[in-house]
Amino acid sequence: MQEHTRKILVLEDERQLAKAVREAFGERGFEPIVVSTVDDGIKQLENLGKVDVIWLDHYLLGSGNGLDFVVQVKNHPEWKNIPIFVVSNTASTTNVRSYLQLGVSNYYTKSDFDINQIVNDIEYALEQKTA
Amino acid sequence: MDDIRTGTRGERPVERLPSGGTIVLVLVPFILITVGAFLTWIVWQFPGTDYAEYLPWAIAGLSFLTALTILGMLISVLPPYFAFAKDARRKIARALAQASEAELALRGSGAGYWDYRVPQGEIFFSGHLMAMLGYGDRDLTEKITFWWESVHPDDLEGVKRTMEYHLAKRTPEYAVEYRIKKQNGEYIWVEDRGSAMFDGSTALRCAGIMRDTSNEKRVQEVLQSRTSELEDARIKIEAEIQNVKKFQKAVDSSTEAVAITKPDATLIYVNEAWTKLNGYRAEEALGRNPKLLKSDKTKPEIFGEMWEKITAGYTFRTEDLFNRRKDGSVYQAEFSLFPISDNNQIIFYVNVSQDITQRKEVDRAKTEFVSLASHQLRTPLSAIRWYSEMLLSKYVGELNEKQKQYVKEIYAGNLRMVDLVNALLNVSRIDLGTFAIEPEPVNPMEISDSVLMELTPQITEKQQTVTRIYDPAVGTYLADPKLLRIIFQNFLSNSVKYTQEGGHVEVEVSKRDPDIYIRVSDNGYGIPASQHDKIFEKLFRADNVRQKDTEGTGLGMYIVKAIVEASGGRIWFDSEENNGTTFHVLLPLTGMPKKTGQKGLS
Repeated sequence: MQEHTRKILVLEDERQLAKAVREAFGERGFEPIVVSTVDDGIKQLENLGKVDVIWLDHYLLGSGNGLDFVVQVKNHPEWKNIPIFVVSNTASTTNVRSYLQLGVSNYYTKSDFDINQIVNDIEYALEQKTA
Repeated sequence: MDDIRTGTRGERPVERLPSGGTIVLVLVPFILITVGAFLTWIVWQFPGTDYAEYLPWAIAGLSFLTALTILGMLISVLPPYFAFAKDARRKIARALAQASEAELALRGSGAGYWDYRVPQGEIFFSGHLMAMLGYGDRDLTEKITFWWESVHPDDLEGVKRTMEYHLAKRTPEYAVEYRIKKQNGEYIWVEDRGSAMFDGSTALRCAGIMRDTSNEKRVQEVLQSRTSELEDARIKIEAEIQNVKKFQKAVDSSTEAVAITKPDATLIYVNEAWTKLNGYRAEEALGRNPKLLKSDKTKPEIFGEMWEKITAGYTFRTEDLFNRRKDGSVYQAEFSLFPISDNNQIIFYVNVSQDITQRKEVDRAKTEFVSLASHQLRTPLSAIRWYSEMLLSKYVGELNEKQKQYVKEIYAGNLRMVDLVNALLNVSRIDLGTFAIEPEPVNPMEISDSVLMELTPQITEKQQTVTRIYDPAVGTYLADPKLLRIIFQNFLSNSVKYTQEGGHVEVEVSKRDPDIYIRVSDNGYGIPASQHDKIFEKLFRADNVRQKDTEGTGLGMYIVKAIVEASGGRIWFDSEENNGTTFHVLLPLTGMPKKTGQKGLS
C-alpha cells in the first residue's frame, strides 16, 4: 500500500533496546536506521534525504542528549515537520515538559509500554499525516 | 385628716376629762330624779292636807334649791372644762400641723400613703399615691381587688403572702418590693412598707407608704450590669494575659527562627532559634535592621518583590533568600514575612525563617537520583518486556503452547518488576535514609585483596597490572567492614573500569600518624579538570566516561565521601585527563566512630 519504504531514524544508545526497536520496525515494513549519538543522528538526517519519523531516547552516547537533538531538528527548515516520538525511561517531569513544548509528537516511558503499542501509535500518526 | 397617722406604732396618749365634771355629770341626774320624785309625792299628798295652800311655795322652793345646787356644782367644775377645751384645741391644731408636715414629708420623699381597712376589704390610696400611679391627684377608696389587680401577676403571690403573714402577726412589719401597674399599663417598681393595727388578734387596718423605686432599680440594674461587665472584662483580660503568655512562650521556644520588626524595619524581638540560626545574640540584633544578615548570594529582585508584597499587606514567602551569619557563613532560608496591622495601620512585621540549605541540597539530589535511577533500572526491564513481547508476536515464527506459556510468564513477571521498580522509586523520592556505622577490628589489606579478587575477571580481560603496597604496621583497624569495603570497591572498580587495556592500577595502605592512609592510583582516562569540583557530587559522572560507558550510577564517589567524612576522615584526589587518577583517604587510627542509624549501606 505504500509506494516507498518508510524510514525511521532511531536514536537509542542501549544495544539491547536498539536491536529490539530495529527488529520490531523491520517486521512492520519500516526501514530502521539506528544510531546512538546526537551527532550521528544529525548526520543521518543530512545523508538520508527523506526520513518519515524519528524515535528518540533522552540519554544518548556522546555529547548532547535528546533535547539537544530536538532543538536542532525543529530549527531545520526541512526536518522540522518530521514527527518525533521520545521513548525514554527518564521520568523527569521537567524533561517531559520541555520535549512537549519543543513540539515532539509524543513521549513514552519505555518500561511502561509494549513496543507494539508504540509502533502502532507511530503508524497511526503517519497514516493521519498522509491522509 | 385623721387618716394620717404619723406614728402608727404604739398607743397614742389620751388626755383624760377633769374628774369634777364627771361627778357633776353623774350627780345631776340623781339630784333631778330625787327632786322630781319628791315633788310628785308633794303634789300627790298636799291637796288633801292642811298644807295644801303651801303647795306652790313648796314646789317653787324645791326647784329653786335644786337649780341653786346644780348651778353651784356647774360653777365649780366649769373652769377645768374651759382649760381642757383650750388644751384640746391647741392639740388639734398641733396634730393638724404635724399631719401636713408628715404629708409634705411623704410627698417630698415621693412616697404615697395607703390604708387597708381589713374587715371592710377596702383600700384607701392617697391622692399622691394615685398620682404616682398616673391616675391624677385624687384620693381613692376602692375594693382591695383594685390593689391586687394592679400588682404585676408575677409578684402578686408574694405581695399577698407578705400581707397575710403580717396580718397574722407572723412578721413585725409588712415590707415588700414589687411591680405595680400604672394607669397606662406600664409597670413600675415600688417599695411598700406598712404596719397593721390590731384588736386582739384581729387586724383592723394596715397602713403604709409606697415608694416608686423604678429609677433606683434601673440605676441598680445598670450598676449591676456594669459591675458584671467589668468582672467579665477582668476575666477576659486575665485569660488574654494567660494567652499572651502562652504565645510568648510558644514563640520564645519555637524551633523556627522568629523575628519581629517595627514598620521602619528595626528589630524589636528575636527568639532563641533566631539567635542560634544567625549567630547574633539578641542584644546585638535588637535595634538594628535585619539587613545585617544580607548576603550577595540573594538575587536583588527578591527584596523588591518582598517590599511590594508586605506594603500591600500580604505575606511574603520565599525559599531563595541567602542569609549571612555573624561568622560569615551563608545559609539558604525558607523565609516568610508578614505585616501585622491594627486599624489598617501596620504596627509591626513578623518574620519566620529556617535554614533549608540541607533540605535544598537533599531535594536537588533526590530529583537527580530519581531521574537517573529510573533510567538505570528501567532499561533492562524494557529489554525483557520488549523481547518477550516480540517472541509472543509472530515475527520470528509461532511458538508452541508451552513456549508461549513460558514467555507469557516471563512477560508477566517482568511487568511485576516494572511495577515494583516504579514503587521503589516513589519510596526513594519520599525517603532519605541515614546510615549506621558498626565498627569491629578488621584488616584493611584483606578487604583490599578480596575486592581485587572479585575484579580479577575484568583485570584479566583488560590485561591490566596491579601493584599492592601494604604497610604491615597497619595491622587491624577498628572499622565497619562493609563501609571499608565500599571504599576499596569503588576506588578499585573505577580504576579498572576507567583505565584502558594494558593499564596499571596501584593500591597502597599505610600508616601516617595519626591516620591510616589509603591510596588507589591508575594511569587511565582521568577526570577533566573542569569537572574536578563535581566529582563527589551525588549522581555525577564525568563527561569523558559517560560517553564511553552507559553503566555507572554516579553514586559511588558520593557514598565514599559520605563514609569517609562520617568516620572523621578526609578524602581528596588528583587527576589529569588521559593521564590517570589518584584517590587519597586518611582515616583516624582511633577507628570509625559508632553511629546508630536506620540502615547500613551494602
